[in-house]
Amino acid sequence: MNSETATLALSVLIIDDEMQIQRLLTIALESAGYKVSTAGTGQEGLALIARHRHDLIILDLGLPDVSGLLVLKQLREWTNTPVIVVTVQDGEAEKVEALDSGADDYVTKPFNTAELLARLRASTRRANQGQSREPVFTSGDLKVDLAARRVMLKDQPVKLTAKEYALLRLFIIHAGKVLTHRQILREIWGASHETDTQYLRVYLMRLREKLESENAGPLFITEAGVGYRLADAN
Amino acid sequence: MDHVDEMPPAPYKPWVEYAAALGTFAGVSLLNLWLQSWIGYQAIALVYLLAVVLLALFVGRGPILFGTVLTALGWSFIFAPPRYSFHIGSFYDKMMFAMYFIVALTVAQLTARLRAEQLAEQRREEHARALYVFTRELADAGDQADILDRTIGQIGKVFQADVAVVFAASNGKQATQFSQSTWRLDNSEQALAQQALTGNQVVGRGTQASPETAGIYLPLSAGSAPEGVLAVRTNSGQELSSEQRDLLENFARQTALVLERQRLRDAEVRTKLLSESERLGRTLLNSVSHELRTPLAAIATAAGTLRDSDQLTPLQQRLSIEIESATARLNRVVHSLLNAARIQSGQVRPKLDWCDPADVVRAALREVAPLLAQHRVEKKLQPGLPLIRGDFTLLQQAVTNLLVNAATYAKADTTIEVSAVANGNELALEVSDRGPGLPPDELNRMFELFHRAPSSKPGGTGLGLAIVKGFVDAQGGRVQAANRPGGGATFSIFLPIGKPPEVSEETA
Repeated sequence: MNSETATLALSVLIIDDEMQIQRLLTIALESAGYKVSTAGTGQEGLALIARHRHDLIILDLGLPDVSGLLVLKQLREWTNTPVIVVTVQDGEAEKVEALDSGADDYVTKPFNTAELLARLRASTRRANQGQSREPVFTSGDLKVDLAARRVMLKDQPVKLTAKEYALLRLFIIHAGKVLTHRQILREIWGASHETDTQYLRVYLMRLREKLESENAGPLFITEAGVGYRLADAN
Repeated sequence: MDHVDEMPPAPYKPWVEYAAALGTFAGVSLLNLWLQSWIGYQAIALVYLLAVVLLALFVGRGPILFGTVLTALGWSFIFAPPRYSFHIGSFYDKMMFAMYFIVALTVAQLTARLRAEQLAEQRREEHARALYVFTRELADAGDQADILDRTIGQIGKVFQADVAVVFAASNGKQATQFSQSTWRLDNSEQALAQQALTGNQVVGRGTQASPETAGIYLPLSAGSAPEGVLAVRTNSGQELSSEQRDLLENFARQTALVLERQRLRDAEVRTKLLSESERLGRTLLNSVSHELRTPLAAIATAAGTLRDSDQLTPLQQRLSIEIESATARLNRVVHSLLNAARIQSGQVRPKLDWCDPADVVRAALREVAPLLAQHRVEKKLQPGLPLIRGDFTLLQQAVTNLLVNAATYAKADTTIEVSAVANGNELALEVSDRGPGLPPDELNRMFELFHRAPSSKPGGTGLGLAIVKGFVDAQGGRVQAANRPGGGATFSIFLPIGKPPEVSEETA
C-alpha cells in the first residue's frame, strides 16, 4: 500500500445512483486507503458536501434526480474540492461540458480501478500543490524552467515562439489534467477564438515537432473529442 | 359551399346600342315636335343635348357618336329655319349647330369615360369578391383532393366551365388526371397540359401557344416547378376576356399556393413524426447502453480491485486477469453493437472540425495499445500533413476498428503498418497487415454489416468494418479494402482535403 495515501487517509465522496457501483467503488477505494462516503442522488450528495469536508468527489453524470452537470455547477459555486466525473463512452459533449464547468478529470465507464486510482492521486496532487509548484518541469528529455522561461530538450535549448511557449506553459501548469479545446483557446488566443480549433491543432503540431520524439511516447496526449492533457511525469 | 355570383361571359352587342340611339332620337324628336309650340327651336337643341348626355350613360362611344350626328342633323332639318332642309340660314344658327356638336360630343365622351371606369371598377370588385370567396373556400379545405375538388367546383361555377387537373409526373410516376375532374382530357389535350407543365406557362385558347384549341391550360405553380396543370374549357366555347383570364390565373395561383402550403404542412408533420421516433430510438439506445455497461463496469471494478489486492494466489491472480480481459472484450462488442445500431438508425451526426490526421492515428494507437502488444507496429506519418475536416472521435474510432481488425486476423509477431498520407486532394489513413489477406471476390463486400469472410477464423462480430464505413461515410469520406503484394490486407480510409482555414501568425 502506498504510504502517502495511508498516512493522509483522504476522504472521498461517491455520488452514484447505481448501488452495485457504489459498493464496488467503496471496496476498491477503501482497500486503497481512502475514507469513503456515498450518496445515491444529487440532492443527497450536495447535502453531504455542505455538511462535511471531502478531499475528492466522484460524480456520476447520469443521476436520476438532477443532472450530474447541475450538481457539478452548484457545488462549484462554493467549493474547490476536486471532482472526477464518471461518464459513458461516446459522451464527449458531456465530458467537455463537465470539464468546462469545473470538473477536474473524468473516467469513462467501464473504467478500470487502476486508472481511477491514478486519476484520484493526480487530482489530489494538483489540488495540494496549488501555487507552490516546482519552477522546473521535467519529462523524459524535456526540461522546462518556468522561472527562467527556458526550454531544453536533451540539454539543447529549444526556441519557441511566444504563443508556443504560452501554450506549453499552460499545459505544464495543468500537467496531467485534461484541458478542453475551449479552455486552451480561451486562455491562449482569447474568448473570440474559442471555437477556432484549427489554431490549437496547428500549434500542437508545431510543439510536437519541436518537443516530442516518436520513441519516447507522446508528451501531449490527445483526448478524442475532448481536449489534450500533458503526460504527467510523476 | 358558398355561392359566387355567376359571371357568364358578357357578349358585346353593338347593334342593340345603335338601335337604342336611333330609338332615343326618334322619341326625343316626337317630344320636341310637341314641345315646339311652347318653346323656341333653340331651346329644342338643349332637349336633344340632354337626351344625348343621358344616352351616354347607357351606351358605348360609337352609338353616342351616331346619336350626336342624328340629333344634330335632326335639329337642323326639322327645327332650325328654314325647316325641312339641312340648310341653316342665320350665322347665329350655324354657330349654334357647331357648338351643339362640340358640346354634345365632349359631354358624351366624358360620360362614356366615366361609365367605362365605373364598369371596370364594378368588374374589379366582382373579381375581388370572386377571388375572396375562392380563397375562403380553399382556406378550410382538408387534404389535397379536397382542395382540388373545391377548386374545380368554384371555377366551374364562376366561369361556367368544365375543369380538369393534371398532376405533374414525379418520382417515376406518370402524369395523372385528378379523378374528380369534370373534364376528361384526351391525348392531344394531355399533350397541351404537358406543354404548360414543362414550360411553366399558360397555353391553349387565346394564348400565344395553340390559341385555337377548346381549353386553356394553366400551370399550378407557387414559385417553383409546377405541381400540376389546371385545364378549363368554357361551356359556351367562347374565349375568355383578358379580365376573366386574369381572374382565372389568380385562381390558379391561389390553388397552387394552398397546395404548396398543404405540402409543407404534410412535410412538417412527417418530420415531427420522424424526429419523435428518432428521439425514442435514441432514448432506447441510451438506456440499453446504460443497462449493459453498468454491470460491465461493476465486473471490471471488481476484477481490478481483486487483482490489485496483494493477497491472491498466482492462480487467482491469473483468473482475475482473464476476467478483466474478457470484460474488456465484451465491452468492445457492446460498443460495436451500439455503434452499429446508431449507424443503422441514421443517428450518426458527425461534429465536423479541423483535425490533425497524425493525431487521429496516435490516439487510435494509444487506445488499442494492449491489443497490439503481440504485434510490431510501424507508424508512417507523412510530415506536414494538412488539417482535414472531420469528426475526430468518429475518425479515431474508425482507425481503432481497423487496428483491432488487423490485430485479430494477423498472427503475433507480424508487422502491422498504419499510415497517414496526403495524396492529391485526398488524405489516406491506411492499416496494412501480413494476415491471411482477403478473398478477391469479396473485396467489395468487406464493409457490409455482419459480412464475414468464409475463411475467417472465429472471433469478431462482423461489425467492425461496417462501423468504419458508417463513420467514414457520415463525414464524406470513402473506404476501400485491398490485398497487399506479398500477402496480407490493406484497409484504407480516404477523406477529402478541404481548404484549411487561415491560422494567422503571431506578430511577436
